[in-house]
Amino acid sequence: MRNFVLTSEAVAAGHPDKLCDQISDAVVDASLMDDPMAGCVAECALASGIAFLSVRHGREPGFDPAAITRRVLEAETGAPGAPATVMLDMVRLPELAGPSAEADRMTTAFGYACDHGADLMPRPLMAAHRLRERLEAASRGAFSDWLSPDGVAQVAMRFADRRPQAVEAAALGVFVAKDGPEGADLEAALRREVLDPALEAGDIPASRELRLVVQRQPGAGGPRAHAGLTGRKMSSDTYGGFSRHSSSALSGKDPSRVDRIAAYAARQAAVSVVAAGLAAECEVQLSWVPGDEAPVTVEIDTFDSAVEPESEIAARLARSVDFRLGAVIERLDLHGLPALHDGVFYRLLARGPHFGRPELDLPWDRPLTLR
Amino acid sequence: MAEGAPAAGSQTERALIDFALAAGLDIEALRAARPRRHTIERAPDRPWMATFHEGEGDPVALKGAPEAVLSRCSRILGPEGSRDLTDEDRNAILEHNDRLAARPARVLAFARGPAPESGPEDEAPELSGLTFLGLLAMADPVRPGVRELIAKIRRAGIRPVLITGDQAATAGAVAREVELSGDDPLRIVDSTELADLAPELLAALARETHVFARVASHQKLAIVKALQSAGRVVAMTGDGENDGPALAAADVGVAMGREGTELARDVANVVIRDDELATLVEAIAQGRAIYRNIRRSLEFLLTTNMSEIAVSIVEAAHGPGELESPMELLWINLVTDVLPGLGLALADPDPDVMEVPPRSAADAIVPSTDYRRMALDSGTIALAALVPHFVGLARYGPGARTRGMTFLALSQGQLLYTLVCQRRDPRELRPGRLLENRRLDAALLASSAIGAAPFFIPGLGRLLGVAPLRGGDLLLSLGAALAPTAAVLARRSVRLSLERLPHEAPSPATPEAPPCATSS
Repeated sequence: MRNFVLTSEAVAAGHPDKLCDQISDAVVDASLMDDPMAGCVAECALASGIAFLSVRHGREPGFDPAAITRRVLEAETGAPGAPATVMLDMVRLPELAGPSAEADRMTTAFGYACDHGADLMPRPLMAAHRLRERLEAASRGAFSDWLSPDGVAQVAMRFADRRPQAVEAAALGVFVAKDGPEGADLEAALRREVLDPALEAGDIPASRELRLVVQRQPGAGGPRAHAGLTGRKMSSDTYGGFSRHSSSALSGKDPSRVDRIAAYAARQAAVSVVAAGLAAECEVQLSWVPGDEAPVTVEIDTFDSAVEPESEIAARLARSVDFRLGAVIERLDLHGLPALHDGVFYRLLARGPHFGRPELDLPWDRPLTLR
Repeated sequence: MAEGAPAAGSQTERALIDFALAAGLDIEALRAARPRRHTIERAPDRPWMATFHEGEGDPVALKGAPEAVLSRCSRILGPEGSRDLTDEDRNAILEHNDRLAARPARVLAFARGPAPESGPEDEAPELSGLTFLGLLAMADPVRPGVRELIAKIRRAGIRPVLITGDQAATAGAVAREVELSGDDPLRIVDSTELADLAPELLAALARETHVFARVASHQKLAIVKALQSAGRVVAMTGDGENDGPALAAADVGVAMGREGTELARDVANVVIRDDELATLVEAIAQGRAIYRNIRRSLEFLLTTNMSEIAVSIVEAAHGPGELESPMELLWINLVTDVLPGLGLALADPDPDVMEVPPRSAADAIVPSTDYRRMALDSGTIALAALVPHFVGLARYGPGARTRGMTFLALSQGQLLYTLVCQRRDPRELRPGRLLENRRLDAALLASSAIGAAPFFIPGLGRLLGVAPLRGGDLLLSLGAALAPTAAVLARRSVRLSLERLPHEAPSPATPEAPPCATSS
């Protein structure tokens, strides 16, 4: 028996790091809508009163990164016009243009899937994101007059033999306005509007002595309270620490960048293995060396949950799935996704985990048939 | 212009009316049918303009920045009449706006709607529930040659900065078109409220920024001050009423003479009468040349006069009765200072005057390192003049002959030396180009003639106390006159060959070291 407790974290859409991810991916959306093959890498940093945005573009950009930054911040923080100043650093790199057919750098990406739920995602992360969603809803709805859209939700989940058993503890880091509730009042309010509905909607029961830890900070949160940076919430964006994940940011890279393609391709491979019933959980490792179209390795780990030898599963993957970068782009239609979603796709993706999002109908969450 | 433009006849509005005429609208009839009752003008915090009309139809017409107009709309005009404006519509319109702006073009949005409840008597009533009509993009093409001018300005060590009320996409596209940042990443600060930034932060940003977008003109002052506190010397061009404070605060305020307002011209240090950027660039070149010429003249006058002083001191120390006569010294000064000084001062700009960085504002007009060279040169001139002096003393003793030898060597020596004063650093002298300044050549010829006059006009010679020279004495004095210039040229070749030794690099065709007018 392998028993342990795992904690996973999800940050709210108003958290500066997440704001940066959304701004970066909004730029990716705009670039793809303007010219799907333009190529673009956007990185954002937020501080009090100012946003820094570095945009590397392959062709003349037909969008306004500063206006996009303002729009995302206005929509997510509810503060019109904030921040007043956006500093742009624009460089044209012609090599970014066009679909990438081969890796331009060494990359190792991991993808994971498990049969914890219909979304094939590990439960601690999804429980944390459910808490986050309730927190965001409360800050827009019932508690809009005192609860900031900036916050963190964490969940500690007990596992027995790598199967989720119960939610042991939850922690909510929130920013509360000056005259907002404190202490027991605050905890009761958050239990009522955030924790209880989230647990009810979840499929893992709460432990009887579930602890709720509330970390209250005064103020409106957001960039005025702490700084943000693109790509700093990789664990929350991927699998919540339940499996390995690459440290390379996903947000802000147009889908010709190998990091992003590789992460989505690896997830689809893992989903295919689990959906085919070949294993209860599966981690797929794909590694590229520069100049190659296809990964040099397709390695899997099923954590002793496979119904046939792992080498056989890996061989099935290699046989059935075309992992060449161009093929992945085409299969997942990575460049066409914004156009299919009214121009806003990657920005919405950046709000939550990049996997297990039924509302976005992610192409990389659709299993492939393995021969 | 982008910001706070007056209603009548602004460039943008002229373009709009032209567009309406081209589309076949009868403007006069329209004006008669829908007389204007009231206008809300644009303001620094109001990026739109509204007019209130009588007659049939919606009473309010609004035009302005797309985001501002869109935020006041709840409906949109489609092919089948108006319908509710959805979030998708808004996104699509804003995305379209960004794409148009990035072309680059200035984009205006138009809307119409019901009058606000508070009525038009209210100075600035809140408008809402309008019907969005559409976008109009106006291209304002960059004038030909601007990119070359910007490159020239950048080569001259001047960092051009674009300050505009346009949005970042437009400003960025223009900046890329004219290559405002050269090969560097283009840094754009898009700010609606620069005053919100900490001054130190703004100063740090300003140092690296090429474009300030979405800036209202009253914020230009903050930018000028930020650049100054970052240690920059700031020249600013402007033409609007609101540019006044920034023009006054800039180290060099430059107003446009034709399009500019009276106020802008009044507070500016420089007025460009033809409104051409090229004129400004030419003015910079001329300014640099004038400063360089003043500096060269000054160094020349100091060096040559010090040599006379040195000669006088040595003579006085050597013995009484060996002194030059007062009239003779006056004549030397007349000959060697006035015309050659003018000749140096009127030199044309060097061809590389715009290839070197500007001098630091803190620099002394004669840098301390130059004093060493000046002392060396004046010493050489004095020494060369003292040789015939002592030879004359030995041959003839104190008197008119000896004085004549010293006079000839000293006056003609200084005149010849003027030629090598055209460069501060002897390494930059190119012997083949010493005679390029025609004004200086004429001045030297004339001065030489005046300098030689006492030998040919007996009365003048008596007045100065010099006697005509013969054979060997004449040759000796003329040789002594040649010596200082020869010494400078010899020093140049020695230093050039010394420099070439370790690197074996050929001396660059364009000198890398700045000429004196712009050196730091």
